[in-house]
Amino acid sequence: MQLILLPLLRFVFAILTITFSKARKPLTILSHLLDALLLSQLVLLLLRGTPQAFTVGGAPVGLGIPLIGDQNGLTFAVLAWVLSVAVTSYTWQDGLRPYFFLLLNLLIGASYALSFAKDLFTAFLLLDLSTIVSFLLVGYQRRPRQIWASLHYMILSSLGMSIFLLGIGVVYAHCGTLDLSLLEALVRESAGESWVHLASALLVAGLAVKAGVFIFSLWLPSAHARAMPAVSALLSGLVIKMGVVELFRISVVFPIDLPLIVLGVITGVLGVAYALNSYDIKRLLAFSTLSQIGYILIGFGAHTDVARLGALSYEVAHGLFKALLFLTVGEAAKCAGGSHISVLTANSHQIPWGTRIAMTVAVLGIIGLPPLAGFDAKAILEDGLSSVPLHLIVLLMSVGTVMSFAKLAPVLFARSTCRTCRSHVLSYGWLAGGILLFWPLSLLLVPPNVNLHAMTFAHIAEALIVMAVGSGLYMSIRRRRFALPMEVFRMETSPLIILLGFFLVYALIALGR
Amino acid sequence: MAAVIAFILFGIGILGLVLRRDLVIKLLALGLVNSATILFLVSIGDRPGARAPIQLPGDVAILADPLPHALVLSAIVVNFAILALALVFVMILVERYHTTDSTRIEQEMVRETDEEEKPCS
Amino acid sequence: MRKDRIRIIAAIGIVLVFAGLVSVMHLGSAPDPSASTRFLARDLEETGASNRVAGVYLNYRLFDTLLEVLVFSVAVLGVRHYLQQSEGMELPDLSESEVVRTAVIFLTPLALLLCAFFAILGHISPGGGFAGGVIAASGLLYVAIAYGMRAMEKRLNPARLVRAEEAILLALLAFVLLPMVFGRTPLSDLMPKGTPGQLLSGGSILVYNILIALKVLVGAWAVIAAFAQHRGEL
Repeated sequence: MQLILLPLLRFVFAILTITFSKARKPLTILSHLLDALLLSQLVLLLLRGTPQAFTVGGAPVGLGIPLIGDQNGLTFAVLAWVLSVAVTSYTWQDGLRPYFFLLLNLLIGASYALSFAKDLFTAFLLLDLSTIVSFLLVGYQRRPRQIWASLHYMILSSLGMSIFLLGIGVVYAHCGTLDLSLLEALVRESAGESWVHLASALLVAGLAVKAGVFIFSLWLPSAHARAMPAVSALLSGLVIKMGVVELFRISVVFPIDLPLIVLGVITGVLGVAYALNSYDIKRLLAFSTLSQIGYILIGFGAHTDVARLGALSYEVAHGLFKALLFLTVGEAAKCAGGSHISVLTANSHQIPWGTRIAMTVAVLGIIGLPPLAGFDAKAILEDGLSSVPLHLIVLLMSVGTVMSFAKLAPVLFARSTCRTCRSHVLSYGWLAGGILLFWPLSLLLVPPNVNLHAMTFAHIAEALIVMAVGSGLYMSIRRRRFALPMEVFRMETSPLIILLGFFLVYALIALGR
Repeated sequence: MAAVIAFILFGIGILGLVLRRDLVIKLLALGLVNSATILFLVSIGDRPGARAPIQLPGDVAILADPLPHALVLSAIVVNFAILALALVFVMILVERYHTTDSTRIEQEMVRETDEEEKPCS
Repeated sequence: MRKDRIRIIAAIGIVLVFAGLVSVMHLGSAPDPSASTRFLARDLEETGASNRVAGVYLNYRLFDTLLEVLVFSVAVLGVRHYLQQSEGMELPDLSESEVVRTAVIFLTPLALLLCAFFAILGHISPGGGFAGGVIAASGLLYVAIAYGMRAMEKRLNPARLVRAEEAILLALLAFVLLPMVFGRTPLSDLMPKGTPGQLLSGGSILVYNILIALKVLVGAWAVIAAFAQHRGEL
């Protein structure tokens, strides 16, 4: 019952915030508290070994919409709650209109519903709802570049969802149901047939547009870079993960392990390459998001239990530190007067010291300093990978991440002359606390033997070596700029590249037998 | 048969989206892509000799499958929402840059620096 | 020039390969239409609606319909939010035209009647709340074209319409909360299940259809009115 109450209550609160717009702040606090209550009940049920499962409306199995509160879903729901608290407190004193709170609440409600839904068409509707809401949030300030980026986002997302819907049609034509639990058995008994290949490729291609995979999500750098800081934090931390969560739910049913790994490698490497080349800090963060999604996809594609836990931990960890990065960088850019690295470095004394500390914590998290969030999750992930080439690629991605973020060093180490405002401190503290305390908190998700095994000397040494190598390489290439094709991010070429990506995924599935 | 037509229309829509530079035509092409998807879904529920799925008690005719029709209802509303909002954004951009050509808008945006960028009215 | 031509040829090539691949793979896998009988195999009396499609999307898959109504509401909200900040322009003046005014006297009541017919009989014959709401909104547009938007706004106050829309949405959420959360309780059928084919049948489907028709009427009218007044100038 809590499974359906969580999203429904959020939707009710969303409407109430515009009906009674004077009371929107108390209503928001009330909704966060209620969600915490319901989520903790679900987590307790899960830890006791009986995850809650529920068919909406009491409809018979196979006809209604099934919801389940399992580990993958609850992790994402808790992340959604944490990020919603952080963003609400960040924007508390910004004087945003009730319309913004409505959109925010709808987005969180959709995230809850998606984390529990086990039906393909419900996932389609929830992804579309979250797309429309994020599209409106990105264009909130009505600047022309935001509007253009939003438009590009909307067009590509609609195309991707249409491809997903084609996949749903093919699945229904052969199976007669869209319930993922029933599909598991039905697809397994017809494994190797051509419709399974076609349906899987269509579904993966459609979801990859939302999930932040490099070839498909070409709208991402502009949209995440140009939005308001709070909105970018939500997009990179939460909305991207919705596509990834759904990709994982599908990977249990359809044979898409190889495409997941290949797409993860492509987006990891290409994301880092473009991030190295970006000197606008927000664009760098957006490309870094593309690259980090690579870790999560590799973890899900490797199909071992430890790798899956690693991917889930990385999902949460990335949500935490990317959101903190966007929030702090947003404030820093506002204080320093620009988001280019040179402007930030020149005016770095105008950045408040609270913001600077929070930014340092976030950067240390993403480059993998032990024992913070990023190191922990990466270590569990690497434990689950059995093949050496994959391990090497993950190391390469980590080195690239360190190199990209080394640019921020002069911004972080300087003297400040002003203070952070109070509501920002609350949200920074909330997120930074999650990053610093990640290792003990992750015992809720990951069993102790896996968790402690990640803290071995080998992993710590590896992380420190990666940081050293990354910083060293950065110092040596610091003065050089290299040219990367930026043509692909234009509105005219991106749909074609999505289709090419579809061919790649189809080939991987069909020839991977 | 209807499925093949749906895929061809899908392809034509994507071609329109990519090859035409006018923003409004791009949106129309996107609408075509969405309509093609809907056609495909409806064709899934079809079976030889089927009638519309309205059934009175005691009726024993062959009926089409009702689920694709329900999916299509939701899909149509979602496509309407996307098209309306995209059109609003296109209108805002056109009023700002006085052209509907996407290439020219991109060039204008590159030319503007960040300081000059103020919100559209 | 050459680069453009390469682009066009590449685009056509990629799209042809895509359409061809998908068609061949889909037709080649021989989908079996009679395999999907899950919904038709259920008794008609389970939902009580003789329109099988309404039985699917307003009974078994009610959550999907709720999400779709939310998508629609967000779209209306977004359109209204962005367009109310720019200057509106009046519709072209047709008040001199006898033909338009006379036609409206026929067309608008017909449209409103069709909306009521679709909404109230949505569980017996094809139709449903969505189609009805859109038809009614276009009926209102005819009146606006004939008599001008200012006359319309005097009668249909936009601020009050916003309040009405929120109230309808809250009512819809309240009515669907009970059956969705608690399952099949005696309280979840707001009307009797009855015999399929009668007016008073189908459980709560009638109430949902009427609420959805009202919601779509108000929402679609808001969108249409906004677009009619802000036509965008080059």
